[in-house]
Amino acid sequence: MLRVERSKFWMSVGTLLLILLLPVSSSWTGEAVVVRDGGFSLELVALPLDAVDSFFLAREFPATAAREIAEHGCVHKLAAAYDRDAGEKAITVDLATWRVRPASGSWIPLALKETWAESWKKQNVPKPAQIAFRWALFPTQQTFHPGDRNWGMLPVGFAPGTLFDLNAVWQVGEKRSETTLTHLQCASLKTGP
Amino acid sequence: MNPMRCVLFFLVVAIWTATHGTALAFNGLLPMSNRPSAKEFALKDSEGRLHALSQYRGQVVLVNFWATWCPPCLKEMPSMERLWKEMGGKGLVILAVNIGESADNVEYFGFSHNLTFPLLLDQEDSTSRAWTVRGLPTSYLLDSQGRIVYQAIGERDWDDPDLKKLIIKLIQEVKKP
Repeated sequence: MLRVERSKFWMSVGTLLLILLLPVSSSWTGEAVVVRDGGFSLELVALPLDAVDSFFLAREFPATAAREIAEHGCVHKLAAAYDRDAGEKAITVDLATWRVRPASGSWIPLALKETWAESWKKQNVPKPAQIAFRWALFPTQQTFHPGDRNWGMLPVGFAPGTLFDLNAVWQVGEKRSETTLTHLQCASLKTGP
Repeated sequence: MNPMRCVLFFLVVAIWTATHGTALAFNGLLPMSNRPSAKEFALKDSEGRLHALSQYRGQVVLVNFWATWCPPCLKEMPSMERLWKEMGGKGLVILAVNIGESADNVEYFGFSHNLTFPLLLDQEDSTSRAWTVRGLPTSYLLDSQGRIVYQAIGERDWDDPDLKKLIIKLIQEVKKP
């Protein structure tokens, strides 16, 4: 039993290392984009389709569902960090207020994890896979205090290779801050050189 | 400005910075006002032993929510193990609650990373939901009465000297009459 789990385990570790190395390995995807506001930072990097696919396969997703999110999710890694000495105001991120715009289109809301989760439920995706999905994605709403950081996947919901802009919003105490990141790109179907 | 008022102003600023400012930023742990009671749970570890949170009343408990596929969780585990080796059995208990994975997977992870503190299984993620955990890893430091004193979202260096001092202080609270 342990032997079966061992192969799955090393598959997970491999995927995990791949995702960890992404910010320094830009030949696979676009560069990591970092936004800074005082001591608060947001980092966004497009994940290769294969990495997304294998991550969810190792989490007991059926192959079709794993491929669905890899090919239609335009999944990015989103990491948020709030420096421990940066102040005392709480910072709130609510992905429901974020908007994306494909190169030839208008602004639309992100497909949130709750929407994806509903789809997995309808498709009878196994429960452990649904749980892993819920935890692997960046939380829809989160409040950060100094020293806090979090990371997770952010499915943007476009086809591979799509160019798009992203309007990111966060709240520092009572003050609303936002930025528009332009010329972002979903990972393409072909990976590697 | 009146010199007396000037001295008072700086005194107030200094006291406020020394108390409020440092308390918020202490090793990045968020102090919980009024120390809310932690929700009870009873979970099996990867070897099948049942752990109820209430059985550790009287000790300081570090409850950590994690998953094997979570890179920041992986990063903080070695420091947690060092903390456990140094302070486990001396008034500190570490309960690392894995979310949604199989006992075999968690057991193998513990074995391959030389982890010796209990790795609990929250396979239905009901405990993490009850504790309203938002991201992984998230940790809570509980006092001897089962109340949440600090919260931390994201990885931490658990054997940081300042943090150990804080844990020792919490353990010493137990010994006071």
